[in-house]
Amino acid sequence: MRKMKELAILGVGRHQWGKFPDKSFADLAEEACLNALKDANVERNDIEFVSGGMDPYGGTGGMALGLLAGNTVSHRLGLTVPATSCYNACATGGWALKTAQAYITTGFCDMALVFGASAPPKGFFAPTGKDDEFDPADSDFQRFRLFGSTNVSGFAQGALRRMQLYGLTEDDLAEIKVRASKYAQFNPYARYKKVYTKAEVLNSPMVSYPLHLFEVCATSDGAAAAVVCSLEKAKQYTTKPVIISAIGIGYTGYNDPGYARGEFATNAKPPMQGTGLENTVEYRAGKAAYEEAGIGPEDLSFAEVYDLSSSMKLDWFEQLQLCKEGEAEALFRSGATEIGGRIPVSPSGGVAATGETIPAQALYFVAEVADQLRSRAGGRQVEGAKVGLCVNSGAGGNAQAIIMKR
Amino acid sequence: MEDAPKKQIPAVEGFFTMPPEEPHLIGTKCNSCGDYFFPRVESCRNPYCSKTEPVEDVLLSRKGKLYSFTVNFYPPPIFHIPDPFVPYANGLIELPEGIRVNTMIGPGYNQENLKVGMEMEMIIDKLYEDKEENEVVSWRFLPISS
Repeated sequence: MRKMKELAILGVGRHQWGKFPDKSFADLAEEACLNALKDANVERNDIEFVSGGMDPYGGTGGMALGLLAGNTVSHRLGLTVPATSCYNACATGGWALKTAQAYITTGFCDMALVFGASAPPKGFFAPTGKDDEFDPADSDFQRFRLFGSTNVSGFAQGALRRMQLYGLTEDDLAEIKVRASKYAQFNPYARYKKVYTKAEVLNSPMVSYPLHLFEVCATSDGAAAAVVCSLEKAKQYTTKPVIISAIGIGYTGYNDPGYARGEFATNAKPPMQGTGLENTVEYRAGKAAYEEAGIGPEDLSFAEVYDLSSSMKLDWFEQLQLCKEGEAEALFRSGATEIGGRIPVSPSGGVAATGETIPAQALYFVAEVADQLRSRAGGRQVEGAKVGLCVNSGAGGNAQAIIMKR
Repeated sequence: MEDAPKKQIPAVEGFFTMPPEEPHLIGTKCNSCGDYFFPRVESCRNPYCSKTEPVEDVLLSRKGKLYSFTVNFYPPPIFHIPDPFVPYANGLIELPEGIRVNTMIGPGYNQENLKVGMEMEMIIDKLYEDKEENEVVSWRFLPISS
């Protein structure tokens, strides 16, 4: 893929993360978008294009309101501009941003509003179809039906593999949540602000061995938005915008060992040793972003990672080349990834603190990085943060690494 | 008088053979690059393959190594939950053909008696009973030592 031009972020906005039974995805989106417009200090009529993430749970009975997210929310905001929507599972918000980048940097428009919002049902993400209506080729449906395999089953198999290969312990898994919760208490957008003890985490119900309830992310309602524009256009509004220097796209390689999570089987010949790190979409996204931004992992002030489980947080240390394969446990135990350490990872408390909102989560982290770079992160601030990275990854072979600076 | 054995119906068509002895998963082999696929495919999916020779359906190895696993304490919707519920294991089996296949494991296996790298063998077993009291069956793997 070719390098694209840099983009300016004029403002970001979020709705609080949690469960809001009285609100639709569009209600949540509207609040986040209004917050972003206010933060950007732009008029609604300055927005020329809207790029939304689809909410697969939006609308009623399979109707299209959530799939038309871009249009639905534009109408709410009284915007009469072109709008589109995309879906890339948990990487949706990042792709909505990439879409805006493409339209702005090729001259279609100068300024865009990007958002993602969702209000999913409680419990495991799972198909809502009926057993007697299944498509035999739909592996994502069949994994639930044939193997009882939830997303957490897949996370747990990754964690167990780390235990066997690299000495990850149940104690580490609990400590990862404990440390994340110490930052979450300072995060106004977090759903879980309680500071947990290790005993509380280890005494929470076992979901899929070795992962306990408090070591996997919940499914949350939430919304996040950003106002982005060309660097030239940004000069009209601010002398010091937050700049997106890379949106690195990761896509599935033929030998991606993570491929089997939502499939019946991996493709042929995944690497038989280790975890096949360099073939993962997550590693490929990070590598693409570093190349696009012309920097390396050593240049980062901090990173926000997609910690859908405690062990996936450690996977990211390696996928983003913060340490060598198999050394994430030691890096975590050393304290280097805490605020004040060499490379703080998820000073926001991560997804562990929010629960996941599929099409909004990637943009939540973009907003979080923007707030850090503007020294607005309060008790979770990384002092002097100059370059931040946030990542996401989703089913279907999607991952992105977004590098931002100021 | 003994009850007549219940009729067995595959949970998905074309994924496995189900003779009383030695059932197999049905995959596809590419005769150009030698790669294997499961379930069966109509054309080779290897982007590095010349695709000059046709693909053919093959029976995959019944034995493989346990790559990783988990034990699930909360079943998802859709899954036919046994009553009474007991935690169930699933995982990935690495076949000699070079692919890893998703599977249920057990029943009767958990983190106490499963280990990554164990030799495993495929069987066909009941998943649930449908309204006509047919046994809907699918594949599972068990440790060979059992």
